[in-house]
Amino acid sequence: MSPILQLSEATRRVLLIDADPKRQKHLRQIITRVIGAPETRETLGALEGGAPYNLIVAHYEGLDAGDLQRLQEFSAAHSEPKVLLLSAGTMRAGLPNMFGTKSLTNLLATSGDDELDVDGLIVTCQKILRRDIFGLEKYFVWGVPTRTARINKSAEKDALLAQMQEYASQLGIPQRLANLFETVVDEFVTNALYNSPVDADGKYRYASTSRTQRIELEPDEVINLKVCCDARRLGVSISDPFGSLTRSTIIEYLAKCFRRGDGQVDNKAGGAGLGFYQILDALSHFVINIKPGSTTEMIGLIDISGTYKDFVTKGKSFNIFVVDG
Amino acid sequence: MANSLNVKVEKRPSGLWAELSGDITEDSEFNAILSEKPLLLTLDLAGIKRINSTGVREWINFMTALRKDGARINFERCSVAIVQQLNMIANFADRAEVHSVFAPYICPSCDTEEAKLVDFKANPTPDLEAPVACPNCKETMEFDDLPESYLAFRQQ
Ligand SMILES: [Zn+2]
Repeated sequence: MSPILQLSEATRRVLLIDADPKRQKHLRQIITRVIGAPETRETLGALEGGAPYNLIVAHYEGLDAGDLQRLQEFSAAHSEPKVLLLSAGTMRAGLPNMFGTKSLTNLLATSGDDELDVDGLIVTCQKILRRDIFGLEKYFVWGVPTRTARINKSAEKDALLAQMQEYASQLGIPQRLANLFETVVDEFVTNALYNSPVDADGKYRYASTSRTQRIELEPDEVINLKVCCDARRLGVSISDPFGSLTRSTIIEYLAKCFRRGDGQVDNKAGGAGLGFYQILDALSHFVINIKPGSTTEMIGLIDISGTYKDFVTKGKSFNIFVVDG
Repeated sequence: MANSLNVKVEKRPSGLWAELSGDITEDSEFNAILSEKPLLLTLDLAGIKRINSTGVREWINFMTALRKDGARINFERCSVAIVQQLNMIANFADRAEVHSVFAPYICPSCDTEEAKLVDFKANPTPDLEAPVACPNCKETMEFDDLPESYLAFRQQ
């Protein structure tokens, strides 16, 4: 009989670090069933030279400064950071330190009682491992209708925001959550129109242009916006055909904003340097997918299953994925 | 749609009173206030719905210009959107005194959302979780934010 099911993919070595036995067991089960049995440790300990892991999953709250340093070195030694931190941190507690010290690029929220977003864990692990990163659809089950809009000039932004307000109002979600959605769309569109476009030499075309000055992209340079919603989350994505955003740019801007120092708000020509910070504040899960020189896609998910208080109590997830051309 | 910013200015015996409403964005202008060169200014911010990232900078520049003119500034009736920025942006209030803010409530029974005024002069240490009756169904509403950090800007 010929096998109909190929049982193993290429071996993926996953290291799971969690000192809590119950939580470790739960995580190990999920990873075993979706990727393959991970190695487990209670603490990070030493990462021997060239530690041959495709992915390290660890609870941020269980790591000390030395652990974070070793994880950063591990990330830096690989072309793609392959560390996924789990954390219950929120905008007001936990995240300022994590982002202020630039210690992460992949973060998955656990709520206060350590409840894990299992779907989020699976999607995130697979995106890290498989390098198939694009698409809002990955975060929703099949059957959820997606609506799309195309924009290529700043004069269209107000009309688009009006449509999105209408869409959010049809969903019947609390006004405070609808306001978050509007903030995200506004910042996504402004970023895509003004910060993303580059010329043939890779120079930013409108980054220093006043946001009150209207701009129009070339006819073939279209920004695509998608929205969809299920009972639990409202999703929005925006993609541009430039792929000019870099991991370090995002991390630097977020670090600057979380540090709350004198330079928190940029006073240069162009944007205020607060966009990513405002977006992260308004989202439950912020994903940035980059194919350099080709595409940047930002995905935002807002947990609409409860009130604003429920939204702000839960942790935040944040990922940057970069694939080579 | 971005609702453009409306500014209504009124000269009162206590100084200049300016009522702001709408969204604060890259298109917002504060000339109606700045041209008065007020020495004592009260900003009524109840009507501010949303502030985007470039709007934050316009606002900071507005605050800086007022300070250079020597104005003493009070914020009254700050909307929930303003409180959000007070907590996120270190110098959003600059040297202004925040006298009163709105606190958000939601009814678990009928989903009515309502903001209730919290006046720090009358009540310097407000209890945000004190019972508030729903104007629609009379059930007790819930404070719709984190009570321990909603007023964090007062400690910063
Ligand atoms: Zn009610």
